[in-house]
Amino acid sequence: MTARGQTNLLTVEGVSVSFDGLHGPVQVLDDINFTIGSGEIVGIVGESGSGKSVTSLAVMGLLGAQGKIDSGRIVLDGADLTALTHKEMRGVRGRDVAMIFQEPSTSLNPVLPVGFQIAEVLTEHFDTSAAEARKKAIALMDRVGIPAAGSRADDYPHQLSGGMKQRIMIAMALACRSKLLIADEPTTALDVTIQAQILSLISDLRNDYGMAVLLITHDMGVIAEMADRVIVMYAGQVVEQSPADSLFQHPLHPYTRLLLRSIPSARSKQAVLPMIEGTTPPPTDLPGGCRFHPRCPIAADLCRDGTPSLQTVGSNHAARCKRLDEDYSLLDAGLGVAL
Amino acid sequence: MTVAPILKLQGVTKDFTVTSSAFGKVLSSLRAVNDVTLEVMPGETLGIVGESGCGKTTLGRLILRLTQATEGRIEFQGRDITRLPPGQMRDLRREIQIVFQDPYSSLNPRMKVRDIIAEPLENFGAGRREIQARVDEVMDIVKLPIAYADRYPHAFSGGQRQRIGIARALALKPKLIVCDEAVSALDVSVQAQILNLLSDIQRQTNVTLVFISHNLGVIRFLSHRVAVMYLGRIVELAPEAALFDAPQHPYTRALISAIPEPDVSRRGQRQVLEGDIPSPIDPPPGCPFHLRCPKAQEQCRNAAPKLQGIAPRHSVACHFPG
Repeated sequence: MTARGQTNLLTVEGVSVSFDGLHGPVQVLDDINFTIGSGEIVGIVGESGSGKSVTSLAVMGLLGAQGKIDSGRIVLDGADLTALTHKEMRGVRGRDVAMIFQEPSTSLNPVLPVGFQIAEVLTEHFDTSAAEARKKAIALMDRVGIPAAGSRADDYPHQLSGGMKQRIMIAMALACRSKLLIADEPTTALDVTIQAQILSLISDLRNDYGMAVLLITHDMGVIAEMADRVIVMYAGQVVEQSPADSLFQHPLHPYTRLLLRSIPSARSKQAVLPMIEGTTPPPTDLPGGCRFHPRCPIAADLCRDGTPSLQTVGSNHAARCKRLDEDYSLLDAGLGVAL
Repeated sequence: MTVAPILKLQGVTKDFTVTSSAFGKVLSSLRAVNDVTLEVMPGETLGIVGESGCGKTTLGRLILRLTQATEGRIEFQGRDITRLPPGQMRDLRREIQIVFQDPYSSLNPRMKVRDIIAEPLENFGAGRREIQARVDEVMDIVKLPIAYADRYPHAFSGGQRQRIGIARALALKPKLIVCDEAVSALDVSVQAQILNLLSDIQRQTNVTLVFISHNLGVIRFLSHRVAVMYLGRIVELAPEAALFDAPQHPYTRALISAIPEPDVSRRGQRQVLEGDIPSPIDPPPGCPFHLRCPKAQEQCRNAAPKLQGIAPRHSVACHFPG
């Protein structure tokens, strides 16, 4: 079920993750399942505490000493990453899976020239000579749209703007021709005109090199612009999963529907914003039944009882809601009351 | 219309020293706010929008008199406050309040909510009973249960903390509140709650708001009029509908076009502006936007356009608007 590639590049299967808390382990991810085909852009969207970043850290094997994958498998190109040692995982990161984060300045070494840092990726993972690596690094900087790459290669990170630093990170990802790029809020710290540049660069790389992208963001707008398929997360679970067109045209889960409508638009003036009451529950204090029910305007008794499962509607659109078969005018009426 | 503006800025400029000699001689400086002229009417929300380094936060701080203008004149309720001595600033503090971006760092973690909200009232010598009544009243306005009054900030979520910050700003019944990125740190679902709250508060109390944000959607929702800033200058100033539906400055257009909207049918239709925002330390000559402007001509490289009216209440600083 992939939009572009025939094969699954990444398969995340039944992954649950917990972190050590003060009073024992706390589960932060509950049974996450998804796939990414080669050349596909899959977006994970959610608010703070939804588990979207932990999902990306789990794929990269960067959960740290406190975090643990309790169950499930993460398979990249046929290899089970959860079975790898730390050392083997180091080889995968940077080579097969590249990462870019929200704040590029924290990912770059402040005391090394940026060109050297790109070249280092090549000398680390391949048998490239230093001179050859530098030449390639400059070519990559040029490719990601850094003007006067030859001289900028000797610049230190503090001499570059946020957008330029993010381009350097993308050049590093390209250096190894990684098959998968994990981009965790890659444009959140950037201004909107610079964000547009970086998003269009990521799209180009997918089109030119067939690089698959796991895009993690809180911004539904970025998802609509970029993703082939979308995973909506809430309180550690996937609550909706679908091709992007279908998600934005017919969102199914009440959370997704409300979230989409609570975004203030620059294209039309709203008198009142539909809103979701309350806040995302912390993983230490999850409500029973459907995790969204305390905030859901159409919650009924059955929502408080058992946990809903992810139900597929049509061919490839799934949502975790027990009232999927019902008339959504109820939700709209609920919205009316909430106003 | 004979209503006088509550706030009036005339040619306001702010320079910051970047480097100076050992004897205090200014060697290089940057112009954070450049010749800003605008008026805000009572009960109005003026949105100020722009990207990093455009001067929007400095402009807010100038209005609050948290920083001193280098040139120009700021009038509040008809009174020149540009160079008010510290002794006379006290009264002004009562009239103009601020809501900050970060609800985590702007509340004292060792004070109870009740005391945080009461502090401005105490500073102005309110009596105990009066303070108690007003704290209850503003907590009700921002929809914080009174039962929470004796808790500390750490017990609250980001959205609730922002309600505390708003309650503190409201305590003295100010005439003007400057909100600097007041909802930017919040999740979308919580952001909607705070935006609706601010809009309700304004309807109920008729307080004037200067709302500073980088988020155009948020600006459109709250503002009656909007000023777009670029490299320290206002490049467009117009009522909300005109600005968003018929932007006249190429930068405003590009900015609106660049926002990713949750709408797949608009995919790939964004106008992507090239280049970075120039550094305010080394601004380009002529129009500050000409390096990135798709319509730039010779004239734009030589002369900075002035903010000029092109329609009633709509001004734009561009040689080739529209």
